[in-house]
Amino acid sequence: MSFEVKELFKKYGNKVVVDHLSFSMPSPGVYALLGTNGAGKTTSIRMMLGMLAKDGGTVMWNDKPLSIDTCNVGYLAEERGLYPKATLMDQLMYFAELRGVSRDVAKQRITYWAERLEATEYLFPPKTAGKAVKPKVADQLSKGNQQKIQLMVSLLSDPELLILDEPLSGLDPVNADLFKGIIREEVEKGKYLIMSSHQMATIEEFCTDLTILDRSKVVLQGNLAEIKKGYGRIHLFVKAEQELKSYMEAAEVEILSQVGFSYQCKVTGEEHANRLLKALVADNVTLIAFELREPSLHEIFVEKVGETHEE
Amino acid sequence: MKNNTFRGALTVAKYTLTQHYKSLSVKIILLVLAIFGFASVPLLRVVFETGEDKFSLPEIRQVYLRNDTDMEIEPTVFQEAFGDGKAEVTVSESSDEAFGAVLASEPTSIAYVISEEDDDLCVRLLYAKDGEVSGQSADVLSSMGVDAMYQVLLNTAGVNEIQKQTMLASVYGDVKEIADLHTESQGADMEAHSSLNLLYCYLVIFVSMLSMSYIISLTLEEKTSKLVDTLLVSVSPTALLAGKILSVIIFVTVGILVLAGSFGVSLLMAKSQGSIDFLTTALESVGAMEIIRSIGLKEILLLITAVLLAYGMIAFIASIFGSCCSKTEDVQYASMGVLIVVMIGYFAGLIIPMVENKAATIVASLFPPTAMFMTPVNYICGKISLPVLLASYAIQAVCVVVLAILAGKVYHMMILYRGDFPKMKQLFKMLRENQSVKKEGGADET
Repeated sequence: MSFEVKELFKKYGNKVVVDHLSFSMPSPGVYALLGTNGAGKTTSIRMMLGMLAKDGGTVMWNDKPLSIDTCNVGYLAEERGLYPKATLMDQLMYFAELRGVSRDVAKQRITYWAERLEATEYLFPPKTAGKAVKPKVADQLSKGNQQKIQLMVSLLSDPELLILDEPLSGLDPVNADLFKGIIREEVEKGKYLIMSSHQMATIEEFCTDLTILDRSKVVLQGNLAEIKKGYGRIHLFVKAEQELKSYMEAAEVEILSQVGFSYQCKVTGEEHANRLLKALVADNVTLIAFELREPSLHEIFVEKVGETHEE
Repeated sequence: MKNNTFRGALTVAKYTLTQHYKSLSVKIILLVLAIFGFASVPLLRVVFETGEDKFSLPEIRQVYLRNDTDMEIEPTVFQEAFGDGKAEVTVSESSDEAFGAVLASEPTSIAYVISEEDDDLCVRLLYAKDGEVSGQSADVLSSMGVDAMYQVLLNTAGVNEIQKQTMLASVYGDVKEIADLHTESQGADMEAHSSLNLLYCYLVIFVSMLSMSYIISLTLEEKTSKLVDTLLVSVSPTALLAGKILSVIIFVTVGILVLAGSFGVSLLMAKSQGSIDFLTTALESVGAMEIIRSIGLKEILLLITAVLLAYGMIAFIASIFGSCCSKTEDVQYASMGVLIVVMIGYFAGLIIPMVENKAATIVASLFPPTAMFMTPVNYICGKISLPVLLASYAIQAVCVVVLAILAGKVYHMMILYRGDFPKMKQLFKMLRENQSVKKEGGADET
């Protein structure tokens, strides 16, 4: 199986909102679609799913145009909600029926996901003093619990391709971990996941490949590990018990930020870090931390998007 | 994403209806309709049942006749006036006081005293205060006495039956233009036409009002619930809209059935308890009874077709306006838009029958916004011919199809729209742009 987006293009009037986006997923995994607000991520996803007319480009699943007949898709939208006054079970059964899932299978899956997402009490309210409790409606749930139901909706058809737009936004750390666990399981099952998020740490945790969009254009694309490797180990963190500014200047190390005697620095080559370390050791400076590392996704994102904004 | 345009429409309709009937407000609406339908019959009875309908002449067993004149009066003429033969007419010479005593002891007796006053004859009715006769029945019995006395006079003068009829025939004056006579000969009179059209307008208004706000709120529902993206993965906007409109059709039909059913039950109950002549009176009072009697299966089918066409137009207009809403506050603009269209048709439906102008009637029957409020009644009342009616239906059917396509396009285009309620000019500009994108071959969604 493979998923491929080619030359996806969209404009409103004269304003280009997605400018020839192309990427592919030849094998299962997590692909990240990143970008600033209004960069064109959600528009791209909507075009991929055929909700929005494309002005150009193709979206292929197994070399066939993506459609409900060719691919079983699950989508957790960024703008997500539930019918406020309908019971959760009614809604889930409705969405399952729309996806062609039989009632029996739907009930089994709802039961499984309710347990997995710790939402059983909302879907199968226990009897209180022998009396049946009224089933919950969406309005009675917290935002986080509503998000669990929304994730269930996207998983009910057991999709091959799962698109998650900001899946962890608004979740507390406990529920975020719950969601992460499910995402990990889906990847292990061999699913194709496209994830859009502003939480770079989460993306970094899951994704193998990514595209960064800024103001409709692709500013960076490729395998995350290779991108990081390409940058090299240029970020240096040093923590000591004394002032190190003079050592930094001598070793041509650029200080990005300083808190007390902790320094976030940038070097143009590993030799500068080595030179600094030698100088510090030679002067018997007590070091608490000295770490030379590749840039984080957050740093890459800020740098790339920052570059385009300066242009 | 969606290849089958209408896939899922039935599921949407089923879910929408199920949820709708679970809501308390809908249960209340249905209850109100049932109460209204049930209460209509007693209400019509109160409005249209006249005192005459309730009045029945008391059973008179004995009629005393006293002749204070020099004329010879045949008691048989009075006997004939009480045609049922139960009353016995007896000539008496008793005084008024004696009659008082007799009548007081015989509650089913009355007395006529014929006397001469100046050059006139007077027929005085005497009856006991606590007897069977009182109020209105006394007036009727008095009239019967006068009529009988008149017959006596005619008999005395030797007038035969034909001469009697000639003498009794009334003559009255009337003024009419030749054109009016021509119009009248072509169909029902203005009052009957207006009244029937008013009834039909109420039916269309009922259907419009019941469905209009429902359709608008349904088209907006997914936007306000932020469910558009979630749903569009599984179902096309066209199927979503079709499912919603289907659910409204069923809801309105159920509403009409509840109303008609409760009216029918109430009518049956009224019939079992007595006469329902007041309904005939009601229809006769506006001259519509003959037209109603002439309605057969063909006319009923034509009426149902007309209501469906009217419903189709209003439903799709409502869905176009509803699709333009992004938030609950926009509903007022949408409702206003639909209401203007409905009101134009409604007022035309009220005014055109009163104008009684053939050309205006035909034009209004062919112009869709007004046609939906009057065409079948115009035909049933003989104001338009069958070809005009069929032409009107054809135009309305084309309008429904065009509006359905337009509604689908607008809903599809606006489902992801967030912003102010667009002006019509702006909406058509967006539609043109959307169309040009498709022509360029960019869009491939179905």
